[in-house]
Amino acid sequence: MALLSIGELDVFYGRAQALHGVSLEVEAGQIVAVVGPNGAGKSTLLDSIIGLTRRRGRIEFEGRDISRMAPARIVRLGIGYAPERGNLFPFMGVKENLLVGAYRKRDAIDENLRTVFDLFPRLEERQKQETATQSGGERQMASLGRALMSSPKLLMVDEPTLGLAPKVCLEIAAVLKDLNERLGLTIVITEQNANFAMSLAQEVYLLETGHMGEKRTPEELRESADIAAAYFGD
Amino acid sequence: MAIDRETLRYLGWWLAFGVLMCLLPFVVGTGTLRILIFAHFLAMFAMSWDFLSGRTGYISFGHPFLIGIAGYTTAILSFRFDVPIYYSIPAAIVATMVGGTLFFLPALRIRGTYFALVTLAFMEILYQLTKVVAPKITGGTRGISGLEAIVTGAVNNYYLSFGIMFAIGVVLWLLIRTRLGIALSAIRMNEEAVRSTGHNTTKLKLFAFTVSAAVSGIGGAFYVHYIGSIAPRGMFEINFLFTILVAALLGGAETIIGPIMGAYFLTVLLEYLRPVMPGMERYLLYGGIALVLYVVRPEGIYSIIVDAGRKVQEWRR
Repeated sequence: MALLSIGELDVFYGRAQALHGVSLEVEAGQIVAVVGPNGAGKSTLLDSIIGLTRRRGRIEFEGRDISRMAPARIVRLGIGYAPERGNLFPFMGVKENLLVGAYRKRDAIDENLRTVFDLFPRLEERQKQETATQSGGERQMASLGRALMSSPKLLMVDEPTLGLAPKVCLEIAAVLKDLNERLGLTIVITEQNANFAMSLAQEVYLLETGHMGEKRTPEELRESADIAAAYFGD
Repeated sequence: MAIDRETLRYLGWWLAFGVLMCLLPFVVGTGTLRILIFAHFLAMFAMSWDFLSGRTGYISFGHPFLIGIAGYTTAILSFRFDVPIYYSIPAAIVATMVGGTLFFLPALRIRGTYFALVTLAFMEILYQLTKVVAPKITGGTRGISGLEAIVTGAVNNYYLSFGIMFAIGVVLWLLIRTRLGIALSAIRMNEEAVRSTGHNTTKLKLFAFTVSAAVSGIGGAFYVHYIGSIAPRGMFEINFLFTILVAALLGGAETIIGPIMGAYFLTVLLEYLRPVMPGMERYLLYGGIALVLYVVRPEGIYSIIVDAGRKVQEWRR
């Protein structure tokens, strides 16, 4: 059984439809990437899984229907979400940002803080610094860290490489891989950077103006012309 | 919440503040105490405002609405229906908390300027209602006077008002140091992100509104029994609202001690200017001071003191 299974998902912003009948399957232990250009609906998809949008369709997590649940319950079931890194709390220290994420597992706060600081030693050094004054890479780390504070079974990361230097991208990639391999965390990322996504994920979906393509391995996708079509038009 | 060294140090400051203020009646005269009593009530209202608006970013222009509910409830119960104040005051606090949930309803849908305006309307509506609905009970435009006093004398009232304010301050301060308090501040910065981390923001907001209303309720109920009267004018008035806001902002929003400092500063300033400037020009000067302070130091008096303390420490080294 898939850990996360989505079918026929429609999402609307007012009357505008952002996602059209989207499907997605994520097996436990995988890294799955959703790749697409700006405006394809990547963030909308993740927002919808966590329950922030008006949505219609089937969303199942561990076989449970979560399509009508509120975000608070969904997070409690074990989905952690790192939205685009602009979504931190700018005038709070790093540690306080992390603590806001420590909602699901109150008894595991110290343990989770340790895990996050071990993954990102720089966050520990700067735990009192306001995130408003941090670099893009550090903020991405804080955002990932905050999502990890709820001890998720499934981690969703929205555009982990957005606006980051190649070297920082590699660091983030290494951490995501480590989380997946060492801690067995299932991860869903969205990406514009197709190469980054294909180097990290076992399975890749292509999302184009609200329509989801077939699930493919990075190799299959590399061989097809679809990526070029998605970014440059046919 | 872990009791770390920082918490202990701050607790020490609270203790020092408490001891100092308790010794004050031995040093200063009753005139000064009477002034400070007003500062204590203003501080309660400013803390209440700040706990809601300073924390969550839902700017309330309607706090007199909450304070008025408390004042009228205890005034009517005790004066018209001879309910002992031991019951009428708690009843007033509960009524204010109910009023706080009413206040909360618009916050489900709107925020920012719109929310502020709706709360202003709340205040205005209650102002009009007290004049027309059952004036025999509310006293209409003239209000009710001759309310029972809880204690008499400047010294007793000073201790009573300080004790309540101090207790509220410490409780709120402890509250904002928990993760709950952090989450409330996070709402101001990015409500959507708080939701996506799994918090029920509706519950969090309701909590902030209820706590804020309870504090307003305590302050409002004791206040009317101190001054002995209540009337729609003076209570549901924009000037009263602004005094609360200015106290909180001038002292330093988002802190607990800031609004207290602001309240002391404002009240003492206004009173000591009275002999020099007996008329309304006093308000002009205080407006000017508020303006300058706000431009130069938007973080408020509290931050000036913190900075000064830091400089002294560096200088000693």
